[in-house]
Amino acid sequence: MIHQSLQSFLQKRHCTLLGVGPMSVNCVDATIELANEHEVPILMIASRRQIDSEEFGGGYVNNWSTQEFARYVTDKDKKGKILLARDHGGPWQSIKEKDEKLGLRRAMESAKSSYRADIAAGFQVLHIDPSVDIHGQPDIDEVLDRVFDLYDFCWMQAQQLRQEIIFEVGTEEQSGSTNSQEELGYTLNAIKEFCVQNKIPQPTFLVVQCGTRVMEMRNVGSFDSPIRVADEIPAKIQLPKMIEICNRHGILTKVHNTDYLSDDALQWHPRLGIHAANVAPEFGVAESKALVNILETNGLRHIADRFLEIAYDSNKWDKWMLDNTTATDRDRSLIAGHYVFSTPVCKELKIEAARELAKKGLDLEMHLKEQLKQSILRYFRNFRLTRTV
Amino acid sequence: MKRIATIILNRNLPEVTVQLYAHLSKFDGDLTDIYIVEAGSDAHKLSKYATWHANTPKIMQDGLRYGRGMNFGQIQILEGGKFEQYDAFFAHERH
Repeated sequence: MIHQSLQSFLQKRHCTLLGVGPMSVNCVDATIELANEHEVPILMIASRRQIDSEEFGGGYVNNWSTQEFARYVTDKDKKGKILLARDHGGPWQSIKEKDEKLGLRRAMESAKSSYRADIAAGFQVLHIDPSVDIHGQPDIDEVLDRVFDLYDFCWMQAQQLRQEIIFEVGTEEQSGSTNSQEELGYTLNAIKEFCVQNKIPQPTFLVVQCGTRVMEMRNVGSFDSPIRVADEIPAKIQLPKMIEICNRHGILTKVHNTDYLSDDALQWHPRLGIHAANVAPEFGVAESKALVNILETNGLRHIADRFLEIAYDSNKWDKWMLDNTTATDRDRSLIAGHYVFSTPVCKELKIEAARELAKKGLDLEMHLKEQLKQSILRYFRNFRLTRTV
Repeated sequence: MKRIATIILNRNLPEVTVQLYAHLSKFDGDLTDIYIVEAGSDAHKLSKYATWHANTPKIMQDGLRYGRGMNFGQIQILEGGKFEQYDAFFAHERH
C-alpha cells in the first residue's frame, strides 16, 4: 500500500520525492507543516546518530529515542503525510557500536535491535545499509549477505507486529562518483533472487550513486560539476541508464547527499526520473546560520559568539572537512551547530536569546522555523512537489 | 506451553547436533521447544531430529550463516503461528 501510493503520486506529478533529515525540532516541525500545507508525502529520514532507541541512548536531535520521536511526529502530522524512515540502518552505523569496536556478529545483532525498535515505533521505510565495516572493506557479496540477513529479519519483525514496511537498499557510502551499470545490475539481480526465494517483497527504493557528496557547506561530487571528472561518465549520461535498469526491475531510484546542489542541478532530478532524494545537513546549517544572523543583527552578538564557541568546541565539524580545507572557525561552528542544539548549555542560551528577542517583538523559534521552511521549499519547487510557491 | 524456543543451526554435522539436541532435551526439555535448521546439509547428513531443511540451490551451495540461519528458523516458527507463544529465542550454531 505504501509502495503503491508513492508510485501513484510519482506517476501523477512526475516529481522527485524529498527525504528530509530531522536535524532539529524546528526542522521536524517545518517539514511536517509543509507536508501538510502542500499535501505532499515527505520521508523523514532519521539516521541512527540523530535518533536511536533508548538502548543506544537516543540521538543528538532533542535527545529523542526512536519511540519519542515517532510519537512526536505522528501526533503533529494531522494529515498523515510524513513517512517515518530509518536512514542508514545497519551495523556500526551507531557511534556506540563504533566506539565499542564490536565484532561483526555483535554489530549485526545491535543493528537488528535498533531496527526492532524502529518497527515497533511505527517506522515505515527502512534503509538497509551494511556498507560500513570498521574492521575491513567487505566485497559486494559480503555486503549483500549482510543486506539479506537484515532484510529478512526486519520483514519477520514487521510480520509479527502486523506493520507495513517498505525497504530501501544501499550498498555503498557516499563516494561522490557514480556506480557502474554492471555493479547495479548485479546488485539488483541478487536482491530480486533473494526476494523471490524468500517470498519477501522487493525493495521500494535502491540507492544509486549519482555523483553527490557533501563536504563542509557544499556539494563536492561530480553531479553539479561544470567540468568533467577524469575517468568518469558524467552523471547526466550515466544516470538515465541506471534509472532505466531500476525501472526494468520495478524499483524506484533514490539518491543521497543532495544538499547544496544548485537549482539547475535539482531541476534535473524530476527530468531524469529520479524518484527520491535525501537532504539533511544543509537544513541543520541553515538553522545555525539563521540563529547567528538574527542574534547578530539584533545586538546580541555576545550570545551568537557563545553559540559559535560551543559548536566549535564540539568538534562535530571534523568529519565534514576537506583535506585541503580553507574553512574558517566560524564556518566550522556553523557546520557543527545543529549537533549542539539539544545540549543543556545551548538550550539555556536559546532561552536567553528568545527572551531578549521577544522584547523587540521577535519570536526566535518561529523565525528559525520560517527560515527552514524557505530552505525546504527550494526543494519543493525544484522537485515539482508544488506549483504554488 | 513452553516459553522458550531453542534453534540449532546445523550443516552436515548430524552427530554433534543429535548430541546437543539430546543434551538440551534431557536437561531443559521441560522449558524449551527445540528446533533444528539444516542449512544446506546434504541429504545423507541430516540429523535425525531435523525440523526444517533449507535446501534451495543457493543455500545448498553456500549454506546459511548465523544471522540468516536464525532468521530462517524464526520465520518458520512465525509462519507456523507459534511465534507469539515464545518469550525468548535461544540460538545455537553447529557447523
